[in-house]
Amino acid sequence: MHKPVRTRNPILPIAASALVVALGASPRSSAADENRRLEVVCTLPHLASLTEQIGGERVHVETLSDGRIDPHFVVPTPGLMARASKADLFVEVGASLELWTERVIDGARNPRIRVGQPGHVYAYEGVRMIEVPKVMSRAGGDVHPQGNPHIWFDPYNAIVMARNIAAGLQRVDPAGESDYKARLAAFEQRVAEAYFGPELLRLLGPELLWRLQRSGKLRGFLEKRRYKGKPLGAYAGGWLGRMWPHRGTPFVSYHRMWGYFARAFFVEQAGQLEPKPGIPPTPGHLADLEASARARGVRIVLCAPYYDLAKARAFAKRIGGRAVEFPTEPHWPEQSWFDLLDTLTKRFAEAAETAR
Amino acid sequence: MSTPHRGGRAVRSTALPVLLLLLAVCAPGARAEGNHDELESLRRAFDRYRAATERRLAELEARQTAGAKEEAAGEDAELEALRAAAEEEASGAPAASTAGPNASPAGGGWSSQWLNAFNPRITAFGDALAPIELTGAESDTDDRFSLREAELDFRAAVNPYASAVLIASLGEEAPGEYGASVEEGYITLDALPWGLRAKIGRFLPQVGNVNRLHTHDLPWPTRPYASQDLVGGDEGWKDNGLALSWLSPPLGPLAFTITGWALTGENAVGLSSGPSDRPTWMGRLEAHLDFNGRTMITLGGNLRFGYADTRARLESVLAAGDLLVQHKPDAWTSVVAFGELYSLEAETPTGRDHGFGAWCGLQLQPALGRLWSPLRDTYFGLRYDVSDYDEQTEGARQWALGAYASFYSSEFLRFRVGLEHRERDRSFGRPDEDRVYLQLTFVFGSHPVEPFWVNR
Repeated sequence: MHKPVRTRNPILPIAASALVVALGASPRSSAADENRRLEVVCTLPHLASLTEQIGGERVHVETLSDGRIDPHFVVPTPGLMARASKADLFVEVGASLELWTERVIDGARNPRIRVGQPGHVYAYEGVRMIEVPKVMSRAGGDVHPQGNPHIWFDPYNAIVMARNIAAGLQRVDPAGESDYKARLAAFEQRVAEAYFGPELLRLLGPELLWRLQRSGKLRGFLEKRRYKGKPLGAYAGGWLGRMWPHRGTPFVSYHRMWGYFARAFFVEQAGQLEPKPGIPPTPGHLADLEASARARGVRIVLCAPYYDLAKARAFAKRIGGRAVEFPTEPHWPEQSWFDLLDTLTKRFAEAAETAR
Repeated sequence: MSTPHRGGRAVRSTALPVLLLLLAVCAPGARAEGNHDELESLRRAFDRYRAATERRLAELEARQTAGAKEEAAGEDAELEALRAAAEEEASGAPAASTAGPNASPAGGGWSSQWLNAFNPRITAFGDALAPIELTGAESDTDDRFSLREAELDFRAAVNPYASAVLIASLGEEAPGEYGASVEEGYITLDALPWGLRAKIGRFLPQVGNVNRLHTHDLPWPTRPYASQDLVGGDEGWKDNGLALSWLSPPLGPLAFTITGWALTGENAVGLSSGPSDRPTWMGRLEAHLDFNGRTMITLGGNLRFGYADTRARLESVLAAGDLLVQHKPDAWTSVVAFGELYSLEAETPTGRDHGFGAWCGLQLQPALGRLWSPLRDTYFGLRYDVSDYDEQTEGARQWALGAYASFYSSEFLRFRVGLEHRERDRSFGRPDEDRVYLQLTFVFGSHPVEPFWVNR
């Protein structure tokens, strides 16, 4: 067998040819052609749904994952890279949720969608993050430096995400600006109606209600104030009205991912089956969790589809409660983000009713 | 505001029958007597009654309108008070029409962290191995535990169009003695026109899938012997040069990658054993089938042309083929089947040498996590190797069969145990070997996402 040796030659011609290629590099036109729809590639179905709401007929939307795989662990295959290679706009949640997108974007060989370019959108920008770790260490499990990235379960966050998407669409398609703005305004109105319900919205208006919600004072205000002899909370409709009777209901979940849902609908996270994010449940931790769950009267165990529902059911049985499969994504394109929130609030309300 | 209307209708509904009754009683009498005065009198009475009724109706309507206004004013006042209270409650909250600022990163030391913001992401890898000889001990293998290799991985964007990777390795060269080397150091140009991507520097040229894996990323304790014997030794083939690749647009679930390399031919089996003034060229065609991210098939082939001796113009050709099938329906279950084969043909001063090698393997993640969660990331594997371990010696062939079990307590810490049986042609005096391997691999730092060809 020949031994490998160092040769002396052809780096110079190779480097020269590489330089020639590099000098020829230039970003492709970022503007969309007038006569074709914008190609938008989203990482996850809920982003595709939001993009469709804002883009309407001007966009053609694709998603890289169907939402049945943990969004942290999608495999960045050449197939995904090929799909991103033709995108005018690439939309991801960000906040370290889809770390695999870096490889997809690099492999897509599409300069328009690289981070920092007009064709790239981090939908989480501007969202007020929760559960930001105080200490950044892997000893805490799979921690996210920016905080909990599962942001789309809070309706207001969906508005912020839609604004970021609208801004991205306007960057790559300035001719559609008025369309996108009009669709964004309609989307915001629809979210407010779906979340607060028409009566509460008529009484206080969306601006005031969102400010109360964002300042964390909406629940207290609705509980202590009355109007025409009725508690103000009785005027809540939509998702909030559905969840209002169950406010304060504690639940445990498989993975720590429902903080935004809990905050938006006034229910309480009482622990997780995973001892630390991303670390599988251990018997010792489950025993501790059982004791604390019993003490707090927890009866609901939420489990995303890509976690072990059998484990969640087994734990629910131990505490005399009920495990609920809680989808994290809509079945897009048949379902929208609105359908997802509708499903989540219905399932939680049903479980809370049953557990009473 | 419907109350006044209801009141008005009530008054009218009472007055109308009275008037009709009056007319019905009085009119026949007036016609019978033909007395014009009486008729006039009745008409006046009727007019008086009508005027009185209309006054009464107007009074009632006025009273009811005033009541409604008072009621509405009361409602407005309550609503205004409610809105004012809500305003007061929400004071200090940012306007909903603008997105709020992001929370500061942990520790609040954001300003000082800016100073490090442009530093590369750093990951450290450690790979410790304890081979234990059961039979056929050779002098060059010790039954000892050692840190086989440590790597530091630095990576960052260079500018909007290029990113860089530098991987430095500390490998054990003799017991307790480590030598440093550059495993890889390259930039990639990711924004080239026509969907091209270039990699320039020192890297692992892709022959199949195994030769792009660093030792700690292998799904087994040892690199397949076929790859060692025909591609790049026990650490893989690393070379300096340029790679240019093109990715096809998606054709349904199918995509193709075409890659070409121009390399120095350094550190590769079958290439020049002396200084060379001619490059080594390699091409690769790879087809990917991706079914919803759960089932993926990759089929590839390489052809490499170089010189076994550039001064004597002795040519060397390597042909390789590979298959990778991955099925990962959920987080607890996966099946990976893979294999590669190599054929190396090299001219010698006296003729031609030919070497052949192949390996294939199967890896299962049998959903043990459903039985007991901590075992979720447990994998079992088999690998079979066959190769000409010295292509210059006719009939010097070896084969090996290994079984492995890997347990990841998290994606950052792996324990592995392996058992391997290896036989070489006994006519060359090489005994059979049976070894047990105990391996510990750890990662800390930013840990970039594993590419699709890494199979844990």
